[in-house]
Amino acid sequence: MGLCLNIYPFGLLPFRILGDNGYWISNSGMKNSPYQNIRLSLINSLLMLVLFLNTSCIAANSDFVSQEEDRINQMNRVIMCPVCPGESIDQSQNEIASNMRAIVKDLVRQGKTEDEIKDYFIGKYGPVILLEPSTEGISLYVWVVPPIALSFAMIVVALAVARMRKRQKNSSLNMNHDLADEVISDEEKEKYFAVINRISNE
Amino acid sequence: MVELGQIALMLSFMMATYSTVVGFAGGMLNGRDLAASARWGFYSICPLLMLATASLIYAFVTNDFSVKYVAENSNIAMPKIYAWVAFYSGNAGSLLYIAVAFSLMAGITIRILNSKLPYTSPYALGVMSMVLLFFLAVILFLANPLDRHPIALEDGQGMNPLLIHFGMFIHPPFQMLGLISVALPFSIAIGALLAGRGGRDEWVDQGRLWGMVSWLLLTTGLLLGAWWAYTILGWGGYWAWDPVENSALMPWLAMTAFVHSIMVQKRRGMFRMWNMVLIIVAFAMAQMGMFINRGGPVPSVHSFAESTMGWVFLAVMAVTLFISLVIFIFRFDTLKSRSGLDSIISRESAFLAQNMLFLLIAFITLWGTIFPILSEAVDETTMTIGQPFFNKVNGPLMLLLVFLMGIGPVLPWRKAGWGSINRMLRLPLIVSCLVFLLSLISGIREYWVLISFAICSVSLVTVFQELIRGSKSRHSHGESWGRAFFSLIGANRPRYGGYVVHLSIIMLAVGITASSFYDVQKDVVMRPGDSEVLGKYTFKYLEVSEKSYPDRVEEIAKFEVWSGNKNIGYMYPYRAFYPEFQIAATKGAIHSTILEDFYLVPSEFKEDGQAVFRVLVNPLVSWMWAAGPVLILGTLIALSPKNRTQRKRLQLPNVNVDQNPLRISE
Repeated sequence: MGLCLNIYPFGLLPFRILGDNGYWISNSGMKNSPYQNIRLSLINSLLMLVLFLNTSCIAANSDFVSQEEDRINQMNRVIMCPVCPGESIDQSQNEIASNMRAIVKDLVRQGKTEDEIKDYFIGKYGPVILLEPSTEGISLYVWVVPPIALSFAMIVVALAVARMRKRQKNSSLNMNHDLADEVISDEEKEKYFAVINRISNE
Repeated sequence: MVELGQIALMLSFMMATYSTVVGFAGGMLNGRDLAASARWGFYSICPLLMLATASLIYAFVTNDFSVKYVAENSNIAMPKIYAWVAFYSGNAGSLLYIAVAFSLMAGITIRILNSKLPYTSPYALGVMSMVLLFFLAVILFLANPLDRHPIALEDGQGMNPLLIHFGMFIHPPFQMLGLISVALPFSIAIGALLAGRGGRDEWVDQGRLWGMVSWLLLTTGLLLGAWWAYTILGWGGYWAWDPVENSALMPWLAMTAFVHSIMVQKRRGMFRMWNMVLIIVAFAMAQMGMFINRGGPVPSVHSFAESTMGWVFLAVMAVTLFISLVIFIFRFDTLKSRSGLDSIISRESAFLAQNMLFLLIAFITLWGTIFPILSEAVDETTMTIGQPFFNKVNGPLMLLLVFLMGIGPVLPWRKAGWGSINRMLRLPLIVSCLVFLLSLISGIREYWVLISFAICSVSLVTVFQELIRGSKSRHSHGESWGRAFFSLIGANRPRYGGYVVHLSIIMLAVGITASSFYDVQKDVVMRPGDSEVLGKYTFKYLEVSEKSYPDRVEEIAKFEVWSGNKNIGYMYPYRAFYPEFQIAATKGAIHSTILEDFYLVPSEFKEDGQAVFRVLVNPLVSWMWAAGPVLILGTLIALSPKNRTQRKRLQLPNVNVDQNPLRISE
């Protein structure tokens, strides 16, 4: 366990606290049990894994792509290729898309802002060219409905929970209530006995 | 040969009609013989459709271009092995594929249902035959792949070259199978409703089984599709929120909600109505998926099987939805829950919240997908709703789901006391805070990534905590650690299989988060001999060679690549041009490691020897592909039946005497 802790540079501080008094992460009465050790070493390996993943993200993200290039890529992803519906010019292999990528590059190099570039393409192709709808006019509804739906869903869940709670309170007054649901109806008894009779006759 | 197939098609249409009518009659009149007759009628459909399929494939293999569908979807140059892909690459053929696959799966389902749910099965059979009947009617009257041309052609038009990829051997079959297999749990549920036995929970085991089969097929189809896009479409991404992708995602979301909430009905007899609604919605969405794929109103890259028939599917979807809801309302009174909710903080309510979230995401996806149609109809405003919208809106909701996935399984059924919550969630929450801090210290600054990693670690720790806790208690009863672990998983397979699936979802979430926030992309112009650097990778463009095939010309670039100082060999990205179609397809070369993918793809080869390449470093993508097998393994564990000794040990006194009256004499 100690080894695990010590090869771990960042997590050291919290781990000493956690590991040594054993309070935070072990159940009472289980101090120093093998179980606790397993847990600690698992946490260690998890944190090492996270560190490992982080470095890969960071490694990929350090500055080998200039900010300008980054902006160009960002722009390419929000502009649609006019002849290959649904695909951004970033995705598309089409010649038009590659020409448009060149235009984006030029505009970014000229120091145009994001909105200016968008306006340029809207001017040429209309608002349909943007993959992300604007927040004006009818497109506003695209953005407004999801939060409304979310609040609606939350209200429905709250109401359903309240109703189910109420039913449970009522039914716990009458404990046999549950069984009543399970009893077979007369109609089904008939069906059932009909089958029994038939089988016993055969 | 084709004529033989035509006859088989007509016969199968007649048999489907017969088993629909007789199946429902058998259910209503409670006639065992009628039901058996309908069943055997249904069994006969699958071999007939297989015969029709065989005749179509035979036409492809023998280049019989007098058959219209063959002429449209293949040519002499096509490698013969692709006859199988060509079979379902067009509209008519994919319908036949769906029909034959469904007849096989439904046959198996009905065979099992017959012994388990004698009252429900005739109705379920009726519903399944009706679904099949619809497909057969469409095939026979609207899009028959076996129809002949008036004149025989010399050569066919060929298949869309983007489909010439071995991923196509598996992705579309799984996707279509997944969509249509939603009809299986749907038929069982509607069958139980019609038989008036929806409130008895006896359909739950079978509904869950086939729901999970369908879920597994849908998931596999989606993952294979993402993988296909990543390796062949050559833009370095795997998911673009395209209408067809969305339409495959929506039924998946609804089915995911269903396979979870059906567990609540199994365990607690609750959510009876809710499960019915969910499966009805899931089937409607699956139909919607087939509708959009078949040349629906939304433009998409994936509409390979384009036709105007989408509207027939839409109409049928509306009718199905309407009839299902009518049945549901008429049988409303049979669906009362056995018990209510004991506490607001319990696993039941976590399931409810999870269900709502899944449906909400499905709804938002639907909303974003169809909104352009609405806005055009209302306002004549054309617009596009693409990736940025869906990422912004659905991304946070999906993170919330991953969080629920972490805390839900450790909340006890019925009622969670603060003591147990504290005991179960303390460790995961502490660890997630540590992960958050650690990520912050190590330089992650995107707050969504920080949140996502913290949430994933909550879920990860709860899963491991559960596994260790269970193994430990078995270990303390004298089992060795290894044995304790495996017997733990074997003892409650739905639960621990579910945990394995959850692990794979965490892998997916980590991969998606890292690769969407930390991918690096660069377009470089190079001449042979040039070297460029991206991150730790150095790549040297050596040469380009041209290779001619009967159907295409490939320009293959040769790269030598170093990672740091280590030579990792040559990479060969290429661009294939199909003159007949005027389509170019690029194939990236990928060097994949556990940490990141180095991805090279040519965009353009210019006349003067210059070439444009796109170079990407995508972190953690391989984790997503690794999640696939883990997910399948988990689902199979969850699906595997209990072995006999366990079943005997767990058997409870049978309260429901009428559960299986036909077996009573045994």
